[in-house]
Amino acid sequence: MSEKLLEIDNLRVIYKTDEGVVQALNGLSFHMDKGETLGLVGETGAGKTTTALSILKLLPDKIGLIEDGSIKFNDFDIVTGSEQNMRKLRGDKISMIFQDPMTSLNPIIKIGDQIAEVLELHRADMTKSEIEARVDEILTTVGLPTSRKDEYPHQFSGGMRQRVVIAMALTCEPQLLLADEPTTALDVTIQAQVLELMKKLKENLNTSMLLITHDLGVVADICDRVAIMYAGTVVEMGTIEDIFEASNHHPYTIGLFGSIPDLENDAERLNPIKGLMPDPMNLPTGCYFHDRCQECMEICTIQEPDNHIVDEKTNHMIKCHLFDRTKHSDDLEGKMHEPAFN
Amino acid sequence: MGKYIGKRILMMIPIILGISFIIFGILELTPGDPARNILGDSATNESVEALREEMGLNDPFLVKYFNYVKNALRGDFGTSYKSGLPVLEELKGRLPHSLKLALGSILIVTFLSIPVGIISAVKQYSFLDTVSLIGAFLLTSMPSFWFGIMMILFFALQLKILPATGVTTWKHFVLPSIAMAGLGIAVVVRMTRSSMLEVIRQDYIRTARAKGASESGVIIKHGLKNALLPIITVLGVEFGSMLGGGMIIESVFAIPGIGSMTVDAIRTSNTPLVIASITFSAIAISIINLIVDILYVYIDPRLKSNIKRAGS
Repeated sequence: MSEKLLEIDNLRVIYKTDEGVVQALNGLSFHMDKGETLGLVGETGAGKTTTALSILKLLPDKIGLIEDGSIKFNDFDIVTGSEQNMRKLRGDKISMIFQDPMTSLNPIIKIGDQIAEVLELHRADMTKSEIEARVDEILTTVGLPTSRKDEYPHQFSGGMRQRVVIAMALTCEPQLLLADEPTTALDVTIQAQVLELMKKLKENLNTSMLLITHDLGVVADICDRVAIMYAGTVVEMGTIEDIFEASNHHPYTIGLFGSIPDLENDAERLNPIKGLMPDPMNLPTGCYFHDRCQECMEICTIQEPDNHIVDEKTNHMIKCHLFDRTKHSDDLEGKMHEPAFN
Repeated sequence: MGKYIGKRILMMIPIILGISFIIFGILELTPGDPARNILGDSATNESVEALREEMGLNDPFLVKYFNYVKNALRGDFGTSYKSGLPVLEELKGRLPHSLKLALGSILIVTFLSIPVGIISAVKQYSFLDTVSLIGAFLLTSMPSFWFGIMMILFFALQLKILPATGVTTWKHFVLPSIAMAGLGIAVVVRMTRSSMLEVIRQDYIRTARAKGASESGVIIKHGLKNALLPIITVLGVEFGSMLGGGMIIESVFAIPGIGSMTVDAIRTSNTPLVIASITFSAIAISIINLIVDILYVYIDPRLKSNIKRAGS
């Protein structure tokens, strides 16, 4: 096994709002190895962005709180780490690409200066001309002409701005890149270009990437492993083959794949998962998915399921009572493979 | 850019003409006879009528206005009925006092309000924020003449550390500048706070934090400059009204500035002086607006491309 870069264990994050306490992350656990790409998939409100912001410790001030759990980055404890140490990590060892390139660049600072700022903050030993050279280099890498570095964000298109954001995130060659839906705000042709670019850069720099998305196509394209999130926890995690090809799945994953429109068969309507995500201010008891689950059993309403490893080789994990071997090991095999993909 | 500024200066001409026309019209409609005011109650009707004829007061309204503009273009704004001095001389004598007062006030407003506003925004709902809210509330509610009088009572009469009236040293301008700044402080603090609050919630502020920038770097470099547009707009408006509208403060502190001159001129139907001082305010405000608009372009590059597009 390769070296662990990031380890999140039983992370609980809440948002204190005027309406009440939102339980955004409820015992989230996963880890990432060096050089690996992990896809974090889930519906809106599943806690994907909260996960990324927790890793950077940039949750909204006084509203977002880490209640419990740990985040370890190269043995550095992010939860207890000081703000000063966090500032050294941010932008240097861990950097983030935000969802919307139209709003995530400062509108009144030249893009070259915005990229140079990261270097000024983290590479104090670099001279002005060295920084300039590095900015030119990274702009070329992301496919932007260096002649445009003195222009402002409004002079660029959405795809080009996302390239600037990517350049900014990669200037210091971070060990971990948090990409929060980097292609959602872009149109489809540009999406492909940007993904291809990120894939190439990641390989060249041996950066690990946490790719947050709700686009399963993107996941299949560039991820090594996938974690499926639901209501602030990981309900299923495994390699790309485990998720896309293996027969054992969490009922939520089955529903998620079932809701993708099929190009080959004619269907009158889409096939969504019934119901809505539970209200994060008022989570159900037991398994958070039980009231939408087609396989719901009595225990599901009472007891939160454990993480069950269904494939030891790939560490394919499913958080569901259906896979509890101690309770019904005999019928496990026969139970799950049929209803999977219809 | 030069083309844009030239265009804006040209646009000031119709504005100033329009304002002088309106003032001229209003004064035409007000009762009172300047000739009678000059000569006094004891003068005979014949001599008053002779003076009216000599001053051109019997001409039709439009003729009078046309003559006024014609003379004004030659730099002759008429003579003050009261002192007999040319209006321009009167203005020149009073302008420095008004200018010092307005500059003092706007400096106080700028250097006090912007930091307080930033702190209120960054530490929203903190003790300091509450204090600044109450302070702004008090400053808005207090009439400036009352505020001025209270300060005279306390600092000049009780503590005897600052002079109450007069214009001879810089110390004389401290109390009136503070009194004049009062409302401006309140407005600019609240404006800075709300503008900063809006900016620090933007995505690019989070991006700056994610780069590893320090909190002060994030607030000043990425926040303040983006929040500055509405702030300088308000500062410009405040400065304009301070330059031309010092009537109350100048009266309270007996400062011989343009404001107190205007009050005097209105009371004595000193028409040339009234028109000149109000036109002066209009010009001052137009120039300040132009400066504010030019500053916009330097702060926000997006506006520059708009101007280029509109100018070509």
